[in-house]
Amino acid sequence: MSDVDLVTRARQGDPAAFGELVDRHRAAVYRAALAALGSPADAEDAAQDAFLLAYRRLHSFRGEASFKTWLLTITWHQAINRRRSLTSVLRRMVAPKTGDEAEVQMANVAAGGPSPEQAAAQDQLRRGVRDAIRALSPKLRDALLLAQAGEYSYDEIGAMLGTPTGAIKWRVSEARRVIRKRLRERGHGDVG
Amino acid sequence: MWDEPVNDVIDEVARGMTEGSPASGADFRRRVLARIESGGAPRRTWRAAFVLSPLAAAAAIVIAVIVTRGAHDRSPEQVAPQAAQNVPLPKETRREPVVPAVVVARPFQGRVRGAESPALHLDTLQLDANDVASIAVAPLAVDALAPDPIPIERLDAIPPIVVAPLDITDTQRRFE
Repeated sequence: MSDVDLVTRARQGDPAAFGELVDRHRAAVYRAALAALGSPADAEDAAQDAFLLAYRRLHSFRGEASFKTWLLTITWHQAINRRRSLTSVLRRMVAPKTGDEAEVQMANVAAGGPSPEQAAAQDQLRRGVRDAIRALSPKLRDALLLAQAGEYSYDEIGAMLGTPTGAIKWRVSEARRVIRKRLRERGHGDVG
Repeated sequence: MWDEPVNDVIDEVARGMTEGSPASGADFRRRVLARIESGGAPRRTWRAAFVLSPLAAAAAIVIAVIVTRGAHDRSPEQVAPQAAQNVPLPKETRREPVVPAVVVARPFQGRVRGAESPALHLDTLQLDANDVASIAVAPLAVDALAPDPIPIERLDAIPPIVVAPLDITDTQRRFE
């Protein structure tokens, strides 16, 4: 059954149909919220709010864009509103750092991968990239994270951000350039 | 070149930053539907908490200031007669002690799904402007100031100054 059919049934008061739409798109919605907010807890709240709002606005969905694009646009607005709130800013400031770098290093050692020196250099590079991504302007960072999330086409990202597709592609490319420049400035030029 | 492998790392790290799915997993659908059924609005509890907490504090401060100023702003006509006589008020006119304003602000309940916005409750606000009369301060007893006179010597009379008229003709002659 297509999304449009499910929307029609949901409009007629079938909660199971909307539940099916939730199941189909929850990952895409969650990842968009995570790209905007950077915090899993905030992203989950924003994703729930987005579905709730979408349900209430189902009557305004006219099928001009796909349901997914329409839903992602709602999600993005919800997430950006949340990002502007003070609580979210404070939470991100005190959010504990994830231990994924350490886990990657341990996995490399266990798998007989690169030497500890190489692994340390790679780890340092990744950390530098992560810091550089966080330091990007919101416009560049949003475009890069959404493009790399693997869930959305450039057209969908453009619809979400209300920006032409060409501008999104430029932003992604510019984001990469800015990150490389920052890495060089921090002495990562001889890595890789 | 350096750019290509670094671009790969950038993409990989960016992907990692948006990886994952809702922590509630299969519960996610159930939670969304439960909120729809309960007619819950998108959560704005953070906003209510951030707005109401300062409001509660401000309300408490304003009430305290009003009560305090009420005592100080009494006109002298109201205070002086009692103060001059230094007589305690008759028992009939005495009022009960002022009951302080009790402002009970319920604490923010946290991020509970479907929870209502926290509300500010002014449970009891028992104030009467006339209650301020009972806290009139007794007058201070101050001795009158009576300094000794300072002796001043009389000045001698100054003799009058005699002014002689100018001889104009001599002056004119000097310039000619």
